[in-house]
Parts: sequence; structure tokens; C-alpha cells
Amino acid sequence: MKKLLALLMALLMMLSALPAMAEEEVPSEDVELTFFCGNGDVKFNEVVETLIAGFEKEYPMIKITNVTPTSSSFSEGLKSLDAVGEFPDLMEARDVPMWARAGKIAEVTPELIALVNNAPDYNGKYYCVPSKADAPLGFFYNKAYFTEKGFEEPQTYEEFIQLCEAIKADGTMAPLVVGAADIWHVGFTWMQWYINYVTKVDPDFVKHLYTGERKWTEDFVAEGFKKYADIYLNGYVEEGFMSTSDSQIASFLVTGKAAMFFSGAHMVANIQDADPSFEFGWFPLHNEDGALNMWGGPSLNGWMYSTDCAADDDKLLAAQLWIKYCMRDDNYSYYLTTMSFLPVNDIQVDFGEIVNKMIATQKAAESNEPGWNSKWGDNEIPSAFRNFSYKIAQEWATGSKTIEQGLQEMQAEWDVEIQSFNPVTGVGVVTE
Amino acid sequence: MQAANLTKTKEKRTWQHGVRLVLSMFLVFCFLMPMFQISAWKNVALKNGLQGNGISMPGAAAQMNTQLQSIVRKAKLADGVTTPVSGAAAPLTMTAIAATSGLIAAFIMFLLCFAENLGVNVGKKRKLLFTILGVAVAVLMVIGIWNFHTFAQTIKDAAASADEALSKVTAKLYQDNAVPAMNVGIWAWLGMAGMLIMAAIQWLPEEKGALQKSLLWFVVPALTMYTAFVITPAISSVYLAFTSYDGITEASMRFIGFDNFVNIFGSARFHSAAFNTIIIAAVFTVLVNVIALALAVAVDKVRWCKNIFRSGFYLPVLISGIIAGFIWRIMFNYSFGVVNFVLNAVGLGSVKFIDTMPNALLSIIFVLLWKNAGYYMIIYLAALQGISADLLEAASIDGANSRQTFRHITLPMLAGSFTINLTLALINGLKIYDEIAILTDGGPGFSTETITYMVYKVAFGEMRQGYGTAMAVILFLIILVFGGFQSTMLRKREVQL
Repeated sequence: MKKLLALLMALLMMLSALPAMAEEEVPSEDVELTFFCGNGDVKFNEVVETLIAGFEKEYPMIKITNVTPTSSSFSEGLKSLDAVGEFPDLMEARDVPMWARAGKIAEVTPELIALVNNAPDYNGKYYCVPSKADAPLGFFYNKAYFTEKGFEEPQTYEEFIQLCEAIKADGTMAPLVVGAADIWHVGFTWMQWYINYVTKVDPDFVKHLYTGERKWTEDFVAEGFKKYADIYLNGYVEEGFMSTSDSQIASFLVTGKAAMFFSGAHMVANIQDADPSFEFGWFPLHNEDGALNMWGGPSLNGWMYSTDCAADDDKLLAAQLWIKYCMRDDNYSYYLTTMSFLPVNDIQVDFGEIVNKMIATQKAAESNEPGWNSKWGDNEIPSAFRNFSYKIAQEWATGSKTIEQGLQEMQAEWDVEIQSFNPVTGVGVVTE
Repeated sequence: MQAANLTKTKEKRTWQHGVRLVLSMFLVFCFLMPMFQISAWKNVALKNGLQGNGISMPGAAAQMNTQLQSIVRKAKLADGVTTPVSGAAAPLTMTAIAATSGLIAAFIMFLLCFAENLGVNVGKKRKLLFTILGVAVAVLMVIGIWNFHTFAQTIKDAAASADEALSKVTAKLYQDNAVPAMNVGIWAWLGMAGMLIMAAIQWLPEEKGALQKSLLWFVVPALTMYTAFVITPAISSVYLAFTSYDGITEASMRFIGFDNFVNIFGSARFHSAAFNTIIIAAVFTVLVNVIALALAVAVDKVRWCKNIFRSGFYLPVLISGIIAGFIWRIMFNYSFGVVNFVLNAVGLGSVKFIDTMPNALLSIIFVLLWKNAGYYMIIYLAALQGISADLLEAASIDGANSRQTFRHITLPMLAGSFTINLTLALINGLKIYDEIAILTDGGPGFSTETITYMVYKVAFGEMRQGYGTAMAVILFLIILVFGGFQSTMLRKREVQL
């Protein structure tokens, strides 16, 4: 009798699942979607390839062709594809306001937006389905080495400098490694010092640059970036940082060439891959008062699709299926845990000790703000300015420019760029 | 006797032949531009709610005008708007008619000039026809330009209208076409002036010269392809240099005059890039030729395994610049690179090859030499093997040693190869991009950027198409001046020899 009941229950469960399976609409014929994503992180590339393979297996009528170039930055690659008339159908979402203004990306449907909590909009419209929240950045460190030497996690900026001095004096390894060969990696440290010393003083610093109320050459900006450059100029960073790429820094840590590096939660997987038995810890960078101002919060990072894709019913359906597939609990859980990305919906994921500490630290921080290049509205920076600043940062780090020279060049560049783009006055911004 | 025969095969030509041919091609382009722009305007209109699919430009312009009038009439009926758009139909249609007529006339002129260069006698017919066409088109263009400005002003006024439906369409038209409007003006004026010049030069006295008409036939296929795929796109993008276009957003395309050029010449980054460009080009040109010549002489003299040496030196040429960049970037890596590994093994210590200046620039030049020397070597080798053994034997009989033979026989006989190699090396040195992109990404900071590299980074990486195009125009002029000067000087040397 029990067996019969169990069989009936199983049958009922299968039947109840049938309508849902039958309801899913799939493209009427074979569809090929071109796909583009950032390719800087090796682990992320692996995750994307795994998701694509699984998706194609589940939806054999849809083929996803990854057209991401191997040797250019995200914006360069996407712009180059656009220039040759091959703007991709489906993309990892970055620089959303710019592509939305250009009319290159389509609004996503409310059904997709419902997959996440509090999706950020641009001018009241949703152009991307966020897939991750900005995670806080901090220092990963060699735990065994710290324990052996009796070093503690610093609680103020002064303590951090003392720690660097102590490691340097010890001479076993470099205090820090930076993957400055990748310009976007330079942005990690840049961002933390910018948040601590610039937007801490004026949260609307960029807006006030547009209005002319602020200049890059102001004293508080110079003081902040002098502290940034001193990290390099005082010899805390491993010497060959300009030929070290982001993908190499985990190996510096696990092979004992450097004691710390500054990056995001995604590096947890990279360190574990480099040496599964390696013991490491994480701490955030406090300011002089011991307060925490962190990079985090809502972001327009996730998935987006092109207007051309949206104009083709089958392609649109395929793109929507991709986003749903990625946000489905099993796949989303894999995506989050592998990359240590923070979720944008209510999914429960066990990230492990380090990432849990990051999340707790972020919640306890005095302030959390999106990356300076992820803001939109009056605080959106001109698209060219981010990399220009990071290049200047490289020159500060190598000592080929003084802080004053660099800031003067940044101001001159800013003055040129705002002739073409100024959201405060509306120059270069589409008004519907 | 041989020289006399050669002279007989050449036909006499006048300087007007060349001027007419070049001018007629230029005129075709001049009249194509306004038509492209009116077509672009039409597309903007279609995207913003106007209907129409006129095939000819006048047809498209007329359709657009009619519909604009319709919108205005509706707006007037609705709330009494009195924006003066109703007279816009005739002006833009007239501009399109003038441009179309100009294009047809310029094309006829081009065909006649080309036929003339092939030996067809069209002298008298041409003289009268060109004068009539030139003057007629010039008059039409004056009317067209005048009407175009009337139309542009009308659209501008309508854009400021209080009526929402009207201002939405016209604002878009005006905003999106600030640059096309400028283009129509510039190219139409140039077309008109060109037509007048064409008419005038028919009546100037002709000077006699030589015309190698038959050679033109061989050039035509390549020239046609080159014009279609290189010259036309290159020239047609020049106007971007006068805009703030970001490459993707229509709203960013505003005419800003010479602002881009002013900003470029005032930019410390550009100064550094220009300096690097000249240094790399100069050092590369000299060194690659010295090395290539030495390799060629060595390979020419080597007795055994000649083909292995030849292939070995040529092998790096077959690798793409990107791959070469990756290989050397890994080898030059400060911490993991094999070069520093070897240096450390012999006790010399690590060197920051791509981390600091001037090492980074020297490393780029080294990789360029390694990759390209084989290419230039092959050209020298071919010339060396073409030197008559009789000359070398005669020198030997006269008692010349190997140094004297090389100085007085070999080097003069390589003069043609020098011209080719030095010109190619200079142009390639000025255009270098791949190795820098991969090896240093222009860094540290901006310290190893060249103009070519900066053009790409600015136009594609930093979304400043207008700024990048202005820089490309400057680079073009630099290459033109340097290449032209060098080529002229070296040709003189060839003649002397």
C-alpha cells in the first residue's frame, strides 16, 4: 500500500511539473547569438564557457558564439565590434548608460527584472539584468607568514603603513604585489584611495568638477593621491609590478613572493586554484580614523542585449532564455560561489569564511559607494577619463611624474573631455 | 639609340591632362558628399516618424519636405503655431537637384578625361562641353547652397518651436545633422569652385610633356579597388576630425571646428606620443637597414646551409606583431621572464625591460628589429644576387680588395633597394602599433605611446572618434611629408649613381 501511495505521489509530482515544462517558449527555429564579455579574469572566462556549454545542451536550437577578442579591454572590444557592424546580441553589462544613450542596447522585460531585487534603472528604464552586487575590496594576505611574524590585521591607515614597513624590513617577501600591467587592475587601489580621500571630502566631487566648483588640483585630492603613490615609491610593492598582470598576483601570494594584494572577492577562487592548501586571510583598508569607506552597493553589472537582438523575435527569446538560465538557482549558485560574487536576489549561498567576512565588513562599514566609473547621472565620468587617470596612476607609481604634474594633466584632460560630455549641462547626452 | 626609341613610344601631354583628371575625380567626390548627407538626413527623418522611400536624392528630399510641411500644417491646425516651415520643400529639393546634376557632370568629365588619357581625341568637344557644364553646375550650386541654408535655418527655427510634435522631429533633424549640414556646405562650395576652375583651365595655353598612356590601363583595377576601399573611406571620415563624435552616440556628433586640433597640439600626451613616434621611426629605420644589410651580405656569402640561415632570419617575419608582442612580453617579464632568469643565472641581476623608461622604448625597438630585419634582408639579398658577376670580377682583376668592392660596386648597385627599404622602414616605423599594444600597452603610463597607438586608444578605447580622427589626419600629414621628402632625396641619389 505504501509503495502504491509513493508511486502515486511521484506520478502526481511529475504531472504537476509538466505544465511548467510545456509552457516554456523556445525559438521556433535555430538561433545563433553572438556573445561578448570582459575577458580579464581567467576564472570568469571558465564560468562563462561552462554556462554556455550547459545552456546549449539544454537548448540545442540555440548556439552562442563568443566573439570576445582576447587582447582588448571591454569598451575597446565592444566599440571595435560596433565599428565593423558586428555589435553582439548578448553581452555582459558594463558602461550601460553610454550604450543606452547610443541606442545600442534594448530595455529588458519586467519579467527578467523580477528575477532580481532592486534592479538599478537608468533614466527610469531598465537596460540590464544585474547579476552581482559590487563586493568590497580589501587585502588578501599570507596567513601563515603573518602568524609566524606576529603581524596583526591593521585597524587604521597608520597601522597598515607600519605593517608594510615591517614586512619590508623583514625582507622575506615584498609587502604587496600589484598587477599594474592590466590597466583595470590599477583601478582597484585607485578606487580605495579615491573613496577614502576624495569622495569622503566631497561625495559629489565629479558633479562639482562638471560645474567648475572643484578642480583635480585641489590640496585634499593631491594629499590623498600622494599617499597612494607613496605605497609604490616607498618600496612596498614588488618591483616588477608594471609587467605583472592581474592573473599572476595569486601566484605571487601562494609562492611567497609577496605578503598581500588588494583585490575583490573573485580572487578567493583564484587563490584556491593556485594552491588549494594555502592559508590566507582578508582585511579591509581603514582610514586614519579607523573608519571604513568601502566600494560596494548597487551596480549596472549583469546581462544586457542589443536593440538588433530585441528586434528579432527568436533572438530576443533566446537572449531572455539565457538570462533566465543564468539566474536559475542551480546555475546562479554556481556562478556566485565560483566567482565569490554577491547575489542580487534572495538566493542562499554558502560562500565560506573569507567572503562571509567581506559581507559582514561591508554591512558594518561607515559608507559604501559604487565604483567611480559605475555611477550615472551627474556623477558619471566621461568614458575616456577612467583609463586616463589609471595611466597617470602608473606614472605616479613608477615615479615618472609628480603628483602635481599628474593632477594638472588630469585637469587639462578633464577640461577637454567635458567639451564633449557633460551630464550637468547635457552636452553629449541624448535627451528623449 | 635605345633612349631615342623610348622617347618615340611616349605621347606628348600637357599639365592640363593631369589637372583635369585629378580635378574631375575630386569633383565626383565633392558632389557625392552632399548626397550622402541628404541621404543621412532622410534616414534620421525616417527614424523620427516621417515616411518615405525615395530612390533619387531629389525624390527623397521632396518627400521629406512634403511631410515636414504636413506636420507643420497639422501643428498649425491644432494650436495655431506659425513656425515658417511651409516654404521648405523647394529649397532642399533644389539642393539635391544641384548636387545630382553636379555629380553627373563631374562623372562625364572624369570619363572624358580618362578617355583622353587613353589616347582618344576629345579636344574640341571637351573644351566647349567642360565650359558649359562647369558654369551651369556652378550656377546651380549657388542656388542649391543658398536654398540649403534657408532649409537648415527653417529646421533650426522649427526645432525651437513650442509645438511638441514639430519640435521633436525637427530638433532631432537639426541636432543630428549639425555636421552633415556643415559638410553639405563645405563640399558644395568646393564643388562649385572646382567646376569654375575646370571651366577656366580649358582656355589656358597648354604646355607639352610626355604621357605614358598605356601604363594607366595596368593601374586601373588596383586603383579602383584602392579608391573604393581605402581612399574613399579615409577621405570621407576626415570630417569627423571636426566633430566631438564619440563613435556610437548620434547626440555627440557636434561640429566643433578646429577644437580637436587645438586640444591635440596642447596635449602633453600627444607631445610624448609624437616624440616616441619620431624616435622609434628614426632608430628603427637606420638600425633595421644596417642589420638587414649585414644579414643579407652574410647570407649571400655563406657557403653551407644557405637556405637554413635565410629561412631562420626570415622566420620572425612570419609571426604576427600580436604574437611577437606576447612572446616577448612573457620573456621580458620581470619576475617570471626567461631573459631575467638567464641574467640572474649569470649573476647580472634582473632588469626592468618593460617596467621603466627608457628600457620600455628600447625593448619595443629591439622586438621590432628582431621581427622585421628578415623582411628587409630578403630585399637586399635579391639585389645582391642581381649584381653581375662580371662587375665583381672586373673589380677583383683591377686589384680592389673586399672593402673597396663593397664600397664601390656592391653599395651603389643596392641604391634601388635602399630607396625601397628606407621608405618602407620609415613608413612602417611611423605606423607601429601591434608590438606596443601587447608589450607595454603604451605604458608605463603614456610613456611608450606612439601616434598610431594613441589614435586607436583614443578613438576606440576612450570613445573619442572625432579626436582620434583628427590625430589620424595629423599622422597622415607627417607620413606624407617624411615619406615624400625621403623618397625624393633617395631618388636623386639613384639618378646620380
